[in-house]
Amino acid sequence: MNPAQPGATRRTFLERAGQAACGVALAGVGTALVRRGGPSDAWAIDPARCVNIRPGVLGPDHVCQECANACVLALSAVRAVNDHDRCGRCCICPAYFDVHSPVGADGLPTKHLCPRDAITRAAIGEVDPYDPLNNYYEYVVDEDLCNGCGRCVMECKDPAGLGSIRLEVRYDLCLRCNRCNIAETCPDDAYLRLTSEVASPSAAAPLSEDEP
Amino acid sequence: MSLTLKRRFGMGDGAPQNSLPASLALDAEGQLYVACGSEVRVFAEDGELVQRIAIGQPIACLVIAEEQLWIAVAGAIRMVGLDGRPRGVWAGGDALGRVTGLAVGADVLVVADAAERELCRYDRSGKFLGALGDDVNRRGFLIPNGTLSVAADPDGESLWVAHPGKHRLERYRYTGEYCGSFGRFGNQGREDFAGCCNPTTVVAAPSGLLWVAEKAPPRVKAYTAAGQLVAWTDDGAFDPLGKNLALAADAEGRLAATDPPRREVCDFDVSEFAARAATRAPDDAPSARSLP
Repeated sequence: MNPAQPGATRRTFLERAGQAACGVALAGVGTALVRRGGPSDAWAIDPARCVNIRPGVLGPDHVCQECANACVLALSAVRAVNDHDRCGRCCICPAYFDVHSPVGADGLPTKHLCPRDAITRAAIGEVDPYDPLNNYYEYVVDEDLCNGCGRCVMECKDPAGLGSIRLEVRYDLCLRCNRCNIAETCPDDAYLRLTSEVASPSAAAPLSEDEP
Repeated sequence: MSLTLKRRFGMGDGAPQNSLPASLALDAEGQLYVACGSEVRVFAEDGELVQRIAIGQPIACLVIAEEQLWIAVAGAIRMVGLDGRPRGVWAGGDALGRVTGLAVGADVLVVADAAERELCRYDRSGKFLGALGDDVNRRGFLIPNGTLSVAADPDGESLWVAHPGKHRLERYRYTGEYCGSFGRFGNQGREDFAGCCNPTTVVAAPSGLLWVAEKAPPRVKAYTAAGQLVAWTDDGAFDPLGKNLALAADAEGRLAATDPPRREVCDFDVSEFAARAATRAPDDAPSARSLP
């Protein structure tokens, strides 16, 4: 506003100019607070710390669901993934079935473990009709349904399973918040920021020519 | 009825590959043979280490039959006297696969190959006689736990196989004939086999009892040949992270089981169950001849 305009006073001009300056400053601070990390920054789960993944902690009572609950996204950026190279393709998979549920007439548990039914399975090859247990199954996590609650990860863990299912941050979904809610609430400090220095292979110390 | 733990003894604090008890066998004198890395450690009945037998290669498994040790190593099966003297080597090469179980019959040696998930029959000259159980298990044995356990029945005519993927114990004659099975998946009673893949290990005691090991949680149970549960270990008897426990049982009522994470062997007094099994009515203890 120009103080020369009719009705305008020096006091009004200074008042409006001060408000504008404060608005710009607040916007700048807000932007800085919620800015995303650099293009090479990322959040990742340390499998040696995450209670759902690390060996030695067993049982549904110990499942941690912070990844599912704390992410600012409606469906967490953390999802379960199945490493098919490690999967035993068991008929009675403890990550697929709730192995503590009653057994049905077919000899299988009657309930699924995943509360969102995000794990599906398909028989590999022809199923023997006289012996349905005589078969292998491929287990696939539906990433559109999985919310990263970690129950299947805990059940698949060695020695009950082979540890083929684990939790991972989906980098195409993660907003890379500067202050990640999951990292703030993770009870095991397992949610780590990988900075560009760590994440970039070029930052790693070069191998000497003598090394294989 | 739960088992009474008599003692535990460790295999030392050496490197894991040298102190992990991988396989067990008991002889008629009550001596316990423990495969640890590349040697067999022999313990007297009171737990004292009395002998070390160097084999020169990591031992996959061992059994006692015909008063000698049959020791599976990579590509070969070595016969060693109970005094530690070598008696022979049967070099099977890569065809043997990854041996995790042996059953010695009168004319036939059955080798459990966990790599190919099959039981192979060989005659005493090493000639391959065919796979065992492939007509029943057309896709091989389902062993997500990674080991295939087989045990010679004291009747001398049959053997037992732990089939964890199908949650049952299967019985075969050495001729290859399938005799039947018992066991089912379940979680309500102790008699059931829980989890993805149990039981993992089986041994047949001279009393006729079948001792089986499970994982997650680790425990040992005893069944009659008809599938009736008669004994079990208490919860917490083994480290909860243990799996693929090795077992050995003798005629005197002794049961030994490994506790791999603790690198220990547990000694149980099972004489009460052995005595009961010995006095069982004949129709409760079917021989191979009476099997279907």
